[in-house]
Amino acid sequence: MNGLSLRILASEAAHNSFYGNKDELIWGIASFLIIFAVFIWKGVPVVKKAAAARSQRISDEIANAEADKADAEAELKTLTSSLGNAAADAEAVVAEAVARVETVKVDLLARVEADVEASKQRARIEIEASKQQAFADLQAEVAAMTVTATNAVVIENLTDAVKSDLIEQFITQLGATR
Amino acid sequence: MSSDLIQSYAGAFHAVAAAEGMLVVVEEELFRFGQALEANDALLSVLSDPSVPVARRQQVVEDLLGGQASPATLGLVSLAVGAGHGAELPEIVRALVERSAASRNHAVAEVRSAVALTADQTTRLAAAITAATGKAVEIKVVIDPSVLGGLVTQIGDTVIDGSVRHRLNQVREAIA
Repeated sequence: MNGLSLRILASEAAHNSFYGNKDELIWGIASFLIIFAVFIWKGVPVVKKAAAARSQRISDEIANAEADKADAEAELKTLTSSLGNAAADAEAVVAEAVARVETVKVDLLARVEADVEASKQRARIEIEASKQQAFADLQAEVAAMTVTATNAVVIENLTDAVKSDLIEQFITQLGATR
Repeated sequence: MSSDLIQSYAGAFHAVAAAEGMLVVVEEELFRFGQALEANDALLSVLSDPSVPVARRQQVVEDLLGGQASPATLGLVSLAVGAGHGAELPEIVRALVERSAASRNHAVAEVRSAVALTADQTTRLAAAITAATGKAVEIKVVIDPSVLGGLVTQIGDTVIDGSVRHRLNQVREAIA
């Protein structure tokens, strides 16, 4: 088609007038129309097909994007829901931990109080035992000192005369026993 | 030593002393010697030690009693020691004393005192014991300083303790 146009232009240049030859004009128009018709006949469907394909591709991509978007939204919803459950679980775990801590605290306090009471009881018993032991030791010491002093006083006063008197008392008392 | 053997020796001692006509003297001397043995563990050990020759043990007896006791007493003690019965001499003497007293229808009252008793005290004590127990007794006095004062009288298994030591023990037990 370009070759034909060049020939027409060359012919026009030979006649040296823009509208110099009527036949050429007619042939030119006819050629144009033919070319245009061929273009409409062959080119337009191709263009339409290409445009339809492109349109289809764009529609598909839009549909895919919509699907992706829906998926993403669903995923987001799931994740949001999961987050909501995780928060609830976390709260439950924390609540349970707090409850357990409270129970352990109560148990520990009770145990500590029992231990303290037992220690106090043991201390009371030990103090009482120590007191009684000290009293017994003191009593024994006083008794020993008393006995020692008594022995010393008695022995010091046991003269021969006293010993003789004691023998006489024994004989008298024994003789009086019947 | 068995009880039979002790009684046999006591009987033999009694027979010899009676035959010599020195029963009272021998009995008294043996009683004193028996008391000395009981109070002196070292002496008792020497007289009963089989590793010490018999002659040496009898020489010890001779040294102790020679000039202090009658020949009959010396001979009887020497006999028992020579036969290896030195350790049993206190028991033999006790059996002899009881046998002698029994032959006179008396019981033996062993009296412990810190000081010696006068003859009058001994006589009155025997009368008092007879009055208290209903038994005629012969008094054997043992001087025992640990008694401190008063008397401890033992007739058989019966003990009458009127000693100062006993009183002090009672005081100690009451206070403790």
